[in-house]
Amino acid sequence: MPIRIQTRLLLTLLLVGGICHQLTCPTAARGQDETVYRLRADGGTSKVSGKVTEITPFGVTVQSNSGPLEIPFAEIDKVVTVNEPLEVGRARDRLETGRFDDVLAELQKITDPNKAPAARNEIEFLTAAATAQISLRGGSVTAQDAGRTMVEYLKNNPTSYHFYPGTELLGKLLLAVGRPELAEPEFAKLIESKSKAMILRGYFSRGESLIEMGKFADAATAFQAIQSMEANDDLTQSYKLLAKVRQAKAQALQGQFAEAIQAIQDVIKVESPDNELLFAYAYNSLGTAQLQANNLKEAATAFLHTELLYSSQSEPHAEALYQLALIWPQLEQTDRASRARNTLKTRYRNSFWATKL
Amino acid sequence: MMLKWKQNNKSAGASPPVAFSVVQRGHRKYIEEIRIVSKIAINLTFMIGSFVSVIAAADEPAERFLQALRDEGYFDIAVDYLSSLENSDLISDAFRQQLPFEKAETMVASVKTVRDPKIADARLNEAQKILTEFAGKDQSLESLARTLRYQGNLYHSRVKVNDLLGASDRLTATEKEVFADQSRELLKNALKSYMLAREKVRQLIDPASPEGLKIDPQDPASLAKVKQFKTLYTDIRVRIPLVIEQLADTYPDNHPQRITDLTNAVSEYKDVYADYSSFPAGLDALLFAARCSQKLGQHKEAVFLLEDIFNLNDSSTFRKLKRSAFLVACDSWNKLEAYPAAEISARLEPVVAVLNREEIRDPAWLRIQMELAIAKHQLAVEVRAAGGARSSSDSDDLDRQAAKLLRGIVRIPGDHRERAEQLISEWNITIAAKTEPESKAPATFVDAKQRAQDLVLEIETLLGENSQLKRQLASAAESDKPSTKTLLAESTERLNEQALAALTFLDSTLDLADDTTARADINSVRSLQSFCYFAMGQYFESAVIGEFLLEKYPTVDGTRAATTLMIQSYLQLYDQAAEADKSYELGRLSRACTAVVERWPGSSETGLAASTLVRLAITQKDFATAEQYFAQLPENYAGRSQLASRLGQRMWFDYRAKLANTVDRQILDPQLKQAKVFLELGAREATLDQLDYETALGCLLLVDAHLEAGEIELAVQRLENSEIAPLDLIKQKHPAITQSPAASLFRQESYKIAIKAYLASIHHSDNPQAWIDKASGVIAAMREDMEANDDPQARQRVTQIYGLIATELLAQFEALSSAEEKAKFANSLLSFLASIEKDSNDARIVLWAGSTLLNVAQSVNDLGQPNEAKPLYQQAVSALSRAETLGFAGDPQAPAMTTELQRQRALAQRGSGNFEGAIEQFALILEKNPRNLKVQLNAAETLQAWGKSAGRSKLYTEAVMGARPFTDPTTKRPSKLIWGWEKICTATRGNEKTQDAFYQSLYQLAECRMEYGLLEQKKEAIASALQEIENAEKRDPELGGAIWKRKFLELKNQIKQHLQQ
Repeated sequence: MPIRIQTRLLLTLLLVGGICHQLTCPTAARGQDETVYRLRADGGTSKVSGKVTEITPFGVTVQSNSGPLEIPFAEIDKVVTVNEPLEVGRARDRLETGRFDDVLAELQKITDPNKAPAARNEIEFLTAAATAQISLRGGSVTAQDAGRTMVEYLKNNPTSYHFYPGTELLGKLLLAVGRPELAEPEFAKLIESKSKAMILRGYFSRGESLIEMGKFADAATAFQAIQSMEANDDLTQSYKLLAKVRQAKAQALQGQFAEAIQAIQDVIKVESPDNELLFAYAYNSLGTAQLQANNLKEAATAFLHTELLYSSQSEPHAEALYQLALIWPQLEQTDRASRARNTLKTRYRNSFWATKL
Repeated sequence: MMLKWKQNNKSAGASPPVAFSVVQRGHRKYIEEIRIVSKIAINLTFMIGSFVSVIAAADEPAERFLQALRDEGYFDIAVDYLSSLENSDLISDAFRQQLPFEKAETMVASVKTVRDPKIADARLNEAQKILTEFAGKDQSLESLARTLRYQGNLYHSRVKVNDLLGASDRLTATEKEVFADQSRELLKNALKSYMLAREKVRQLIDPASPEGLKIDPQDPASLAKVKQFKTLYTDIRVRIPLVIEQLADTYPDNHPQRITDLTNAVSEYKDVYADYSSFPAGLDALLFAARCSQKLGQHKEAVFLLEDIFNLNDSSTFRKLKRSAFLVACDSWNKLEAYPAAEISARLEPVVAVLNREEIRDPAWLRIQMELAIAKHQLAVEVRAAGGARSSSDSDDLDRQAAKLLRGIVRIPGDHRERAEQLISEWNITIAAKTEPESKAPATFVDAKQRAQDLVLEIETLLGENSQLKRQLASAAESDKPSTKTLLAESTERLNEQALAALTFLDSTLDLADDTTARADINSVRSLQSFCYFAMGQYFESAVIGEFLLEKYPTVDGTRAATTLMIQSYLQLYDQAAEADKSYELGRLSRACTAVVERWPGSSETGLAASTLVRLAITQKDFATAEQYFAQLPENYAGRSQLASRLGQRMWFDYRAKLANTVDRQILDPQLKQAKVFLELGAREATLDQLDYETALGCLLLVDAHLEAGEIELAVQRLENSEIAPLDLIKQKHPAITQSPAASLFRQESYKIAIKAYLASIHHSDNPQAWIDKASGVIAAMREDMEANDDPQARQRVTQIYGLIATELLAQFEALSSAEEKAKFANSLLSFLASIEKDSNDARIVLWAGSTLLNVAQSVNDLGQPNEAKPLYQQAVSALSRAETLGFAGDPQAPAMTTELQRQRALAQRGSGNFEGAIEQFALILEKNPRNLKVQLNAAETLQAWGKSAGRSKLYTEAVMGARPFTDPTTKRPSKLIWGWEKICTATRGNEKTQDAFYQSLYQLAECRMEYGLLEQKKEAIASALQEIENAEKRDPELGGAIWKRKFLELKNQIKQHLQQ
C-alpha cells in the first residue's frame, strides 16, 4: 500500500483517536465540529463537517447536516480538530511525504500539548508511526524501541481508528526483530479489518510470517486465501499475483521446487516487468526455489535480478541481499558476498533480513 | 522517387555487380566514390543478366552455369567453358556473338584472385584485346553501347594495376614516370570509352532518336530494357567526372591541364547534381564538385556547394555523406581569409550533439569535433575581445564547451589525440577548471543520462587501455613483465574506481525516472549499467541485466546494445567456469544467443550470437547444429571466414580421428565433404592482408582434405596458386604465421602436406619427374627451414616427417589397382628416393630412403614381378651402404640403427639375388647377438630362398637344421650361428610373445621339407612335412589363428597333391 494512503489512514486514526481520547477525557472540547477529509475513488478528498459521534477501529461516525455518516478508516484522509496546533498539520504532511525524522522534529516543537487536548491522540500516533517507519527504514531507532512505542499506543487506544494501521506497523516491527511468531497474530488481526486493502495485506504479511516460522503449508493456505478472493479489481489482482509467487515459494520450501519454478517463470514470462513489487518478489521466490533445487548459480541469478533491477523495493531487496550474502561464498565469490552483506547491514540494518543474517 | 530508388537497389540484390567490382578495384583514392556510384546504378549483375536474357532466353542454363562458375571463383573453367561454347549448337547465335564479351568479363573478374600485379596486368591486357576486337565487330547499337561502357571500366581497372606496378620501390624515378604516363593514357582511354558509351546510350533512350528503343505497350520487356539503359546512362554520367578528376590528379598542382580538367569535372558533377538532386548519386556528385573546387583553390565556392548537403536531415541515410561533406568543408573553412567560427559552430554543433557512441570514436568525426572545438575557442576569443557585461562569462562558457570537446578527443586513442592535447596546452585551458562542474547534480533524467554516457565513454577508453596492457603482458619479455604488471594493476584500479562511480551515478539517474520517462531511456541506462559491470569483470551482473532487457523489453531501444554485452559476459563466465561444471553457463549462453538469433536475424548482434552458438556446437562436436547456426550468420559478419575455417577444421580433425578408429570411410564421406565446404568457404572469403592464423591453417588443411578426397589437382591448386597458398605464406613470412606461437608447426605441416600432394601427383602425371622435383624441393626447403630456425628437435621432426612420407608412399602404392600402375609408380619412386639419397649427407635420411626402397621392392616382388623389383633392391643396397658409411655419430641410438641398417641391407641383397652376401651380413649381426630373433628368421628365410633359387638341397638342410657352426659363448658348447627353422620352433614354442615367429617357423619348416622332398624326389620327406602339419593341428586345431590356419591348409593341400602324384 502506498505510503501516502497509509499515512492518511494513520493520521485520520490519530485524530479520531484524539476524539476517542476526548470521549474519555472530561476536559476535551466536546460539542465542537470537526472536519473529516474523506478519500474519494478518484484520489481526491471531500470534506465532511460535524460532530464525531462514534469511533471504532473500523472507522468514525460523523453527525453531519444530512444525518449520521459512517466513514470507514480506509477512506479517512485526515480528521482535523478545532484548535489543532499548526505543528500537527505539518507533521502530518511530513509523514505523508516520507520525511519521518521531520515528523518528530515538528511534534517536538509543540511546547504545551495540553493547550489542544483533542490533538493529543494524534500526536501520540504520529510519534509512534514515524518512529516505526524510521526504524523500518534502517534509521537510528531500533525496532524494539519503535515496537514499544507502538504497543503503548495501541494499548492505550484499543478503539482508535488507527488501530489496524498501527497493528500492521507493529507486526512489521516484530518481524524485524526476528519474531515472526509474534508478528503473525498481529497480521491475522488485519484480516478482520473490513478493509479490502488491509485484509489483503494481512493475509500476505501473515503468509510471509508463517514462511519464516517454517509453517509452509499454513503459509500456502494464507496465500491461497488471497487467490481465492472473488474481487477482481486492480489491487486484488495485484495481490493475487503476489500471492501466487509467494505461494510458489512456500511450495518450493515444501520440496515441490520444480512446480514452483514453473509457476513463477510463468508469471515472469507473462506479466509486465514494470510491476516492480511483483517482479522483485517473483525473482526472490524463484531464487528460493532454485536454492531448494540445489541450483546455486540459477538461484544467484534470480536474486541478482532483484538486487540489480528492483532495488527500489526495499523488503524484497533486503531479502535478495540476504540470500546473495549466503550464496556467493558457496560460489567462491567472497567479494560479492561481502558487498551484499554490507549493503544489507547499512541500508536495511533494522530489517528482518539484517537481523537474520 | 527516393523510395523508388531504394526499391530498385533492393531488388538488385546485395552482391556487388561484377563490373562494379572491377571498377571498385580502381584507383585507391576513388574507391569510396565508386562505391557510392555503384549504389545508384542498380546492380550490374542484374543488368547484364537482363541483357543476356533478352538476347538469349534459351541460353539460360549456359548463362546460369557461367554465372555459377564465376560466383564460385572458377574463372579458368569459365573461360574454357566459354571457348567450348563457340562451336556449340546448344546456344543461340545471339548468345554466341556475346561470347567474347563474356570471356573478357570473366577474365577481368578473375583478376581479384590474382596477387601478382604483373599477372593481373597481363590478364587485363588480354581481356582488353578481346574486348577491343569485339567492339570493332559489326554489332547492334545496344551491344556497342554496353561494350564501350565496359571498355571504360576495363581501362579504369587497369589504372589501379598499373599504379601498383609503378609503386614498386625497385623502380627508378624515370621508370616510375613511365608508369605514371601509362596510367594517364589509360584514364584518357577510359574517358573516351565512357563518352562514346554515353553518346550511344543517349541515342538509345531518346524517344525522338531514330535509333531509340521503342516501347511496345504489349511487351513489358521493352519498357524494362529502356529502364535498364537509363540506369546505365546515369552510371556512365557519374563515372565521367570521376575519371576526369582522376586524370587531373595525374598533373602537377599548377599545370594548366589539371586546372582545365578540374574545371570540367566541376561542371560535369554539377550537371549530374542538377539532374539527380534528390538521388544519392546527385548528392555525391555535389560533394565531389565541392572537392574539385577545393582542389582549384576555390574554397568559398566549395563551402557554398556543400550547403545543400549540410541542410539534409540527420538521419542515418545521410550521416556518412554529411560527414564527408564536413571533412571537405573543414579544410576549406581553414583556407578562407577570415575563419568563419560562428558559421562553423552553427553548422557543426547540432550534428556533433547527436553523435552516437560509435560515431564519437570515429576518426573522421573526431576531426569534425576538433574543428568545432577550434571554432568555439575562436568565438570565445572574439567575444572576449568585443567586451561587454557578459563577455567574460560567455567566453568562459564557450571555452568550457571547447574544452569538453577536446577532453573527449583526448580520451580516444588515435591521430587526433596529440593535436587535442596540443590545443589544450596552447589555449592554456585547465581542463578541470573549464569543464562543467561534475558535482552539480543533474536536474532531469535526460541530463543525468547524458552525463552518465560521458562517464561510460571514459570507462570505454580505460577498458581499451586495460585490454591493451593485458595483451602486452601476455607477450612481454620476462624482464618487462613486472613493470607491465604494475601498469596493469594501476589501470585496473582506475577502471574499477571509474566504473563504480559510474554505477553509483547510474543508480541515482534511475531514481530520477518517473512515469514520464521513456522506457528506451531507462533501457539505455540499464545498458550502461551492464557495461560498467562488464568493465569491472562482474559478468554475472552484466549478463543478468542484458538478459532481462532481452526477455522483457526486446523491442525497446537500448536492449540490443546490452545483448552484445550479455553474450560476451556469458562467454567470460563460460570460460571461467570449472571444466567439470559448465552446464549453467552453457545453458544460459545458449539460451541467450538463441533468443538473439531469433529476435534480430541478420543483425550484427545475431552475428555474435550465432557465431557463439557455432563455437559451442563445435566444442561439443555437434556439427549439424554448428552448420545450422552458421547459416544464420549475416553475410557481412566480420568473423565469418574465420568461423567457417574453424568449423571446417574441427570437422576435418574429427573425420581423421574417426577414420583412425576404423569407422567405415563411406559413412564418413558426408563429413569429409562438409569439412571441405567450410574450409573452402573460409579460404574463399579470406584476404591476404587480413589473414589470421586460424584461416591460414584452414587453407592448409583444405589441401589435406582435397588429398583425402582424391582431388589431387585441387589440392595442388590450393597449395600453390590460390590467393592464400600455404607454401607462399611461409616464403612471404606472412605475419599470420610468423607471429603465431604455432608457426613452427604450421611450417612443418605445410611441408608435409605439400610433399604428400606432390607425391600423390606422381602417378597421375605423364611427367612424374616434375613432381619428384617439386617434392624434393619441398624436402630441401623443409630441412633448410628447420636448420635456419635452430630447432633443437629438427632431426627428430625431419625423421618423423620422413616416416610419414614413407607410410604415405606405401599406402599410395598399395592403393594402386593394376600391376602396371604399381610398376610405374615404383619406377617414379626409385628416381625420387634415389635423388633424396644422392642429395643428402644425413645418414638418417639416406637410411629412410633405403628402407622405403626396400619396402617398395618387397611389395613389387610380392606381386610376382621380381625383375621390376631388382633395381629397387639394388638401389636400396646402395642407399643403406651409404648410410652406414655416413654413420650415426653422436646418436645414442646408433648401435641399434646400425644393426637395423645391416639387416635391411641383407634383405635388399637377398632381394637382388646376392644370397651369399646376405647370409654373410646376417652372420655378422648374429655374431654380436645370436638371440636376435628377427635376424634369425631373416637368415633362415634367406637360406631357404637361396636353396630354392639355386636348387641346392644342402641349403634346405641348413635352413632347417642351421648353419655356420660356432661355440656358444654362454654355454661353451658347439652350436650353430644361424639356428634354422627347427631351433627357432623350439625357441619360440609356448611363448605368447613369439607366437607368430613360432607358427612362421613351423610353416617354413614344413615347406622346406616339402621343397627338399620335391628337389631330391623323396616322398618320405614330403610325407614328413604333412606329418609335421598334422601334429601341429593336433596340438592346436586353430593353428595360431585364421591367417596361419589358412596358409597351413593351403600348404597341406599342396603336399597332398604332391604325394598323390
